[in-house]
Amino acid sequence: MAGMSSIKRSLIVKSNSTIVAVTSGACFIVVFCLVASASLVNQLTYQNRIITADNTALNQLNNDIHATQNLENAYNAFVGTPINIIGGNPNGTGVQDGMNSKIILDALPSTYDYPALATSLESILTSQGVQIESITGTDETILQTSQSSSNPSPQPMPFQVIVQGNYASIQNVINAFERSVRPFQIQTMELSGDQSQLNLNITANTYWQPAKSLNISTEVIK
Amino acid sequence: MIQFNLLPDIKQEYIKTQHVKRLVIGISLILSAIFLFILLLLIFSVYIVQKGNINNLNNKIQTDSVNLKDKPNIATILTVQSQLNSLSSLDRQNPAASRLFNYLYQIVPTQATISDLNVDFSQNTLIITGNAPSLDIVNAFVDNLKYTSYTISGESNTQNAFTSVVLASFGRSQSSATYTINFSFDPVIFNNADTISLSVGGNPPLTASQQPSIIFKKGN
Repeated sequence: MAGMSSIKRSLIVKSNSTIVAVTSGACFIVVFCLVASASLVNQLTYQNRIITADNTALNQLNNDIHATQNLENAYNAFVGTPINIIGGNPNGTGVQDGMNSKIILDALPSTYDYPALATSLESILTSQGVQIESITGTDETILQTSQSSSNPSPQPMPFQVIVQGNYASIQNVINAFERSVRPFQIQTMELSGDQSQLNLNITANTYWQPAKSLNISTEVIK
Repeated sequence: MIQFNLLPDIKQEYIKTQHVKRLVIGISLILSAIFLFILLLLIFSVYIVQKGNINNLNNKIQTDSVNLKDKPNIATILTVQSQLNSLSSLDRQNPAASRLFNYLYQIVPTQATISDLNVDFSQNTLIITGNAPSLDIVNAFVDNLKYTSYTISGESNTQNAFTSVVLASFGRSQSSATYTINFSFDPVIFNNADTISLSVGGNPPLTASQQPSIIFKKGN
């Protein structure tokens, strides 16, 4: 009877040990799963943000592709007109001739070219019958970078002209600056002298604007 | 009826222990299975479903980016579009300086002349130096400036065209008077988007025959 009791006792002890071992194992598995799951949930949330951003980028790209098709059609219509925007022949070689795209790029050049501006000013002034006293300005070719940008803005090119002529020709000079396809923003203007021989001193700005580039950038999702 | 438990204590304890053992093992197995299942589900979502989705989207983005970049003439088209937009705004900022000549005909008294005129379109100021037969004419000129108003075409309200009118200096010799007038102008009168009509001293614009034939004349 005592031997039977001792066997039962040892079986109870063994069962208790098994319970402890199983509970420990289950606890380890549960804790491991909880820690791993927490890390995976973080990863899941992060990757969800990436997927959302990717979807946004893809939608934007699709919209951009659609927009470029419309833009291309509009551009082709713009450059394909039988008469250009200043009333000249798109295929001619006269002063007012040339395709609309060329006229726009002449009006607001995409590269900094000060000598071309000086030539253009001389041409405008000479055609108004005034005597050019001086055309001055500073060529900032070294400072101005002609790199394309995704969001370009007009950059000023300051200059000064001093001319002499009669009242009518001086008026014509001002009108010519106003009518020019190239924007000339007069800052100051000084008129002095006689009606028949007026001196005109103008300080003004004209502009250039870097070419626009297609900027497809990457973004880091945190 | 009376029942007797004839099992010995040790046997009872053993049965109870076995029962607890089965319960603990069962619960442990179920809990472990549930947590492992959740873990496997998460692993599947993160490393298979999401990774695949991200790779798929990245490939599409890459392809579309190349398609967009490779469009012929896209750089020229974008540049022309950008220049056109800027030209419109630059044109709106350009002062219509040629209007000054018409304004001068309206505001300068017939007998007065100008020897020097300075306009600053960035500061909206004007300095006029000149001659007149007498100081009365200079005074009339100053009054003209003070009481000149403008109307924008299509609008009814009138506003002062010139402010801060100051006779900065004047002189009188035997034959004539000299003057320098400083004043500010409302930039709207040179705004090339609006059609402006000036009214000098409440009077309508002068007709061609009433306008002075000579405005600029060197000082004495």
